[in-house]
Amino acid sequence: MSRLKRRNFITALTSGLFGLGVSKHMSAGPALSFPGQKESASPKIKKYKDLGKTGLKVPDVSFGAISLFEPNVLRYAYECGVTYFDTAESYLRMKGEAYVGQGLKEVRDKVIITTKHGQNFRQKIEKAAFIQRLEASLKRLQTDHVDIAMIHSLDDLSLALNNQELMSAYEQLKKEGKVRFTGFSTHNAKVTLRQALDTDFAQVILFQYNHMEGKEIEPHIKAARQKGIGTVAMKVFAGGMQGNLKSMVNQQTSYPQAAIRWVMSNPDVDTCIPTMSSYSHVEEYVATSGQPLDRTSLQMLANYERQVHNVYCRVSCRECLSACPNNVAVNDVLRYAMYFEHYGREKEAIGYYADLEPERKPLGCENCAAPCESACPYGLRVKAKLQHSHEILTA
Amino acid sequence: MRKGLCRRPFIGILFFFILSYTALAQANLSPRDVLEKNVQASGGKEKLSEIQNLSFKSGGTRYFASSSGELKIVTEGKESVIKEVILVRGDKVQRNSFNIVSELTGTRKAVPQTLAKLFAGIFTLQKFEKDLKFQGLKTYGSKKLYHLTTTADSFKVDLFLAEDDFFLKRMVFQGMGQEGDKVEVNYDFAPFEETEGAKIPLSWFSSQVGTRGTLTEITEIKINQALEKDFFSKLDVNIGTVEAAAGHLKGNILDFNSSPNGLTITTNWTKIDIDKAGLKTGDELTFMNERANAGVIAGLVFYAAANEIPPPNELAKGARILSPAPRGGETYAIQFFGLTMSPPPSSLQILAPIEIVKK
Repeated sequence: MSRLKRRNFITALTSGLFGLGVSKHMSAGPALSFPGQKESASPKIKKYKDLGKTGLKVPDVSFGAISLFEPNVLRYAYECGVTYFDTAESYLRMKGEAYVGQGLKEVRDKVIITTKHGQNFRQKIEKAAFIQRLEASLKRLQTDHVDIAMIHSLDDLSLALNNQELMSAYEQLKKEGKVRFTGFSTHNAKVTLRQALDTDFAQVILFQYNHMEGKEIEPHIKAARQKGIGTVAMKVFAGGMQGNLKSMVNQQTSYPQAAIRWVMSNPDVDTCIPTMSSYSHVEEYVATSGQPLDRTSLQMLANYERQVHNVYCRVSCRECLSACPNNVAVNDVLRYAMYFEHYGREKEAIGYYADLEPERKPLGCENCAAPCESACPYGLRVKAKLQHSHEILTA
Repeated sequence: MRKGLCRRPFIGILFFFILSYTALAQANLSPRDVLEKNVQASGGKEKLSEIQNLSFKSGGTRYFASSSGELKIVTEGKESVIKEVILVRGDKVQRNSFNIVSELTGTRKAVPQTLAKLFAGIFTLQKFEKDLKFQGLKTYGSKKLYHLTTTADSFKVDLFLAEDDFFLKRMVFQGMGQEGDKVEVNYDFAPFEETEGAKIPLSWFSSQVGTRGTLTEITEIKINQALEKDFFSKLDVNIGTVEAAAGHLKGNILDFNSSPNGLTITTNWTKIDIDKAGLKTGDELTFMNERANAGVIAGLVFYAAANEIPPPNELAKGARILSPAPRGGETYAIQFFGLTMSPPPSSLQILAPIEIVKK
């Protein structure tokens, strides 16, 4: 039953209760008890899949905990059948893991928790210091282990694999039972998914994949899946710009529901992690579990693409990077601007941008002829976008 | 020993009955009991009746609510600029945006109307009393919430009170938009805290179905401010004054920003003013900032829409244009590409007069 049909059903049911006089108007006189304490049905996960060869079963729609407000929303998602939860050390300015721990502590043994730690490979990484970081994460998560520990936002897997201190730290954490599986998240899947085929470190991979970008990485996803790597899709809403667009909800579906259906229509993707910030997000996204990609969803996606095709930066595309004479981290800058403008994560975005090396910021664009724009296959006004991004991220 | 053994099951059974009775009593609370407990949780009717008005700030928006159900939502700019006012009064919700007054409908009416009632009851449901229906308990994760419904305009409003502390946890608006689109706006409220003599949630997360949503964090909470008598009937904005005639516009600076990429001056000219002046893309203009002798006097090129502005590589350094404000919004902005001013000249002041004339 689709979400909307289910809602109609619930509405009809409660109307029926009114008709029988079991639901009472407040001003209707003497105090009355509640109508049998009946609860309306919440949507449930309908499909679970194997997460690569980990032996873990994951729901097709999982929980991205990048922007949380109320820890009980996590628990509600669990009650709806969501058992895979993705967080990171840096989320919510270091508070994200604590939210996840608080929300899931009573059901910890029934859920899968992934957390991620960023690494600056230009600086010395020390094994003991990293182990301490992960142990601090465990404390915040109120658990003695994480199911999957990932390196956060990795552009080049070889940097990690060649770092003995880091690899040794993960190995020790696994031996001690503090980490069950390892992997990484990436915005450069074209490179890193290929690299992942040659190592056993990558047991689960989290990558950007949505209806506007990712077609070119599908062969790599397939290869990873065939190797037994767990495949998890993120950024499934292609920039999340729908809040400012027209006609992104109709009687059959909403844009996020259509976008989730598109991602999960790829059998090589084990699960996806749309950000769930509220009870209503849980209801909206979980309702898509097990739903096929239909014509209405495709129309919705086409409508979205029409409106943002020359505005949305496909972060994993990277075509402009080699064209830039100033070595600006174009895709990162535009990704941070996306967090600022469309994800409602202004402070975090400003923080990420502040951490970017000054020489990779768009400070020299003013006199530049903008070869990035002719390099962009999608016709984005890259220079103006970069300048605008710098403005908002330094305001 | 034997005595102790006999006593333990008895104590256990007694404890079980006490727990069961408490649970049963809680489950059998009448609608009125629930509402009373909701009001008591916020300090009780007497204490709430001492609050005549409440105000707080969220980002660039300031909310003023009266205990009699009026609500004024003021969108502020820099310094004394007020760009927009939304006023809820009686059955009407009016908006003044850049001196264009309109009456709001749909969710844009239903949401502020409901917020006005909620704030008037200082975040309790006491002002909804006559319109509430009870739907029972619903489980959300590890929490049970009392589910009540009401209506606002043509929208169904679901309200959820926590079973343990009786504070409002969630509010959902459901209905149809003007174009037959589905509207479902959700509010999740954070734990309530005692602040300035009132118990209120210091943040909430709101989202329309299909969107990511917005976190609202409130600051500058004030209770019982001295407000002018007609405060809740005034719909005035403060954006200066605009005079528009063919080929000529007078107005004011609403904002200015200097960055390595150039100088941007946001004006109070809207599309209506631009149309009155009869400006067309490509028109050449003279810009004057009247205030200072050293005021900016420059030539500008006008672009009516953002997509008509040439690509950046075609806009030479020093290009000067008047176009829709680059960050969106309802007004136009003057941009000086490559011109940085740090500090900006004294002639650049908020609400300082500016003028353009078509060449």
